[in-house]
Amino acid sequence: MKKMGNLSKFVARVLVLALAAGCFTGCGKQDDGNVELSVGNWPNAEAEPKRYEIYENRKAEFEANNPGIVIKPDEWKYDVQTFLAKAEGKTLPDLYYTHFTEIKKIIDGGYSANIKDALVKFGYYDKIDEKMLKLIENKKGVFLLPTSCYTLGLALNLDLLEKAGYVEEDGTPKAPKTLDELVEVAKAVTEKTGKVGFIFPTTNNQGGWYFTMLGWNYGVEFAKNVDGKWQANFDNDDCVAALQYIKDLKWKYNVLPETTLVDQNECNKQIASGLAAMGFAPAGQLGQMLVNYKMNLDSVGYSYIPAGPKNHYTLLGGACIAFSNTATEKEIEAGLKWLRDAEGVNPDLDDNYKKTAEESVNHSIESGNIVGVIDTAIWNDKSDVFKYRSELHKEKCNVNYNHIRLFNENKLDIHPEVEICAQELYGLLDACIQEVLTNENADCKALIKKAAEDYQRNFLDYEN
Amino acid sequence: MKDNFKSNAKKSISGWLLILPSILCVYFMIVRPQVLGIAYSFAKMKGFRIIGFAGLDNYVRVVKDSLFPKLLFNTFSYTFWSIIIGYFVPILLAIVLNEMVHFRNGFRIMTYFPAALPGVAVMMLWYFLYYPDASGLFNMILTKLGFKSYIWLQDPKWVIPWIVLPMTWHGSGATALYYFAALQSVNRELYEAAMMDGAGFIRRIRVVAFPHIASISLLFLVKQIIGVFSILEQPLQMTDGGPNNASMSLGLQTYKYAFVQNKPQLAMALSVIMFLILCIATIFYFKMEKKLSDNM
Repeated sequence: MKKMGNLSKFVARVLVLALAAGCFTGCGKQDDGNVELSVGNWPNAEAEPKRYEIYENRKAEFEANNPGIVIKPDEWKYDVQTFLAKAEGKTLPDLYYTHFTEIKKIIDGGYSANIKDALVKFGYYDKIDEKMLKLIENKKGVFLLPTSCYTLGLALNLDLLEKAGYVEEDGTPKAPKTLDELVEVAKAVTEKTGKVGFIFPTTNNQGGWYFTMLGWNYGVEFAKNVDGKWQANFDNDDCVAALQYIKDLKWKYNVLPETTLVDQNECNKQIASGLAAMGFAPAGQLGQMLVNYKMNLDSVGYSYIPAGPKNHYTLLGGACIAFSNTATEKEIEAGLKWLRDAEGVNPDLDDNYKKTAEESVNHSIESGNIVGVIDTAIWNDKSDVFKYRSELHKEKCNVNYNHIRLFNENKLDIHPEVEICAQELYGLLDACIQEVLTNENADCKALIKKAAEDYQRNFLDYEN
Repeated sequence: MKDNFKSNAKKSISGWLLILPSILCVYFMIVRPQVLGIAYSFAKMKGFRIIGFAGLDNYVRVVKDSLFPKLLFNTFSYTFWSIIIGYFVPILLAIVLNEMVHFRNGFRIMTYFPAALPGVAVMMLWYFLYYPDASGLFNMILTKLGFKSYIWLQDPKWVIPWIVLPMTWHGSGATALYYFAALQSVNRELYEAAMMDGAGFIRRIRVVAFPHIASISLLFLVKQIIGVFSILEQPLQMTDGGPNNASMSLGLQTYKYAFVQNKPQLAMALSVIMFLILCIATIFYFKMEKKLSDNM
């Protein structure tokens, strides 16, 4: 019996020691001269086998060419729900991808390393486009690096537009050039096909985000800085007119879908499945329509954002990379090498860039994605890569080029995003849009007045 | 004295070592997050980093937010509708299960089946049933019956009951099994005696079954209030709080503060406010539980 007691004690102590060992085992970085770089967004072998294979090959080749650098794949993708916890827990990949809309949050929170010295050393700093640099730089340094960017355009279902008589013989869509024309085209589609003429997201702050663009084109500036104090600046007739435009689409022209609470995903689905003819979307969303919702490649069209009564702006979005704030100088340099050699993030047109660009384009074609849409450049005009990439996309274009020509050939001015409490503003505007789309008697003036007051009282006053 | 202490400590060390994993789990999973949550609610923060003491500023900001009264009203509204729609359903299901002679096992599985589905799947399923155009199942039925189609989740006046309905569908099966277990413990002779006295079905339920489940039903009422008061996932998945914040809840606002607005300190302050409101319900719950155990 006593033996059993001793045995229990021994087992208990071993268990506790094992637990303690498990708890205190760290994941410290070893300083043996090698650099181990964890890279986020790594494709999953089962979900994306082709992309996974490409990345594994790139990793093998990169490690062979760069002895001393070990790439550690990490499948974590940027996610608002897990980002802060990972950032505070210091468990972010050394190199992670994020979106333009998150840049401010990441820089303000100090969750990315200053990479300015490394960018200068690699000769990248002077070649970054000025409008990009404004987003990623502050007085202390440069904290992210854009890898791809897009402007918002008008996604089209050409089958529906053709039925409504809005496609030229050569396949060029007679896409609306102004917001008034958008109403005409949408009405024609609804009358002739019975389908939805236009779809506009209203949830997840996406409606508010797109609405700011509509507002700029009506002449609105949502916030202004007066003597260092931020003021809400959209309680005016222009903004009311922009909201009234959305309201009229629903109640006066009846060209919006019956369902009001929709996000970008739902918009993609409706356009892809031929339920809606037009919707604002970044070019990347065309891929979602094609790959996720099996839209026919020949049915996809893409044009530029229609002009408003006062301006003609579009929104800028995109992806960028950040190095975790624990990344060392060596890791940052290794990361820039990886980006240059394996991911084609490089302002200099070399064989590596050409190889990775071609590989990406071929992968897009194989996976049924659209190739041919030419978007905004990350690098300024001192760089040849944008020209090369544009030519490559034209050459490998897998749709009738006329379907997307309007977007490629009409580059609009980009309006910078609202500088302060942008997500909060989008949330308030989402609510206004939802109200005018569910309530025929909604008072646009009162809604805008309340949204401006709430923006000031709930958010800006705390920033001032 | 010292030797005695040493000897006692030596004797009990194995016991302490054995419970150490549990203590660590409770500390890291329950105590630490709660204490830190309360501490964060009084802090100035940058991301999840404390940069100073804010006193009651976070609380003032949360309460002064123009949305706060609506959030409070909506949250109570969720609780109200969950009681109206969802409270009696499990009791009815349990009574039906208890009274069934044939297909009892099959019906029990059917009753429990929705509870086995993941919450996200349930909400997505109902989202499509509610779809406001002709492709929504409910609208298909309405139009077949000659009625106009209806906007369901986009009706600001009724969006909360429409969200509560799938919650009831999802959750009532599991609760019904508790009631069913309680009903199973009722002595069959009581039913037989009631039947011999000429009691019909309704009377049997009223005089025999209900007194047996009265205590447990009170506990479930309090648990339901506590559970629904922190509702978050359902409106997040089905409406994102819309239309025009008609389905926003305090729980969903904590999520938005923390993950959309990147202000965890406000999320924590709001959580503490919710915690205080729920404390009242919890005190009530413990009193009820005590009463129940005293009666047993």
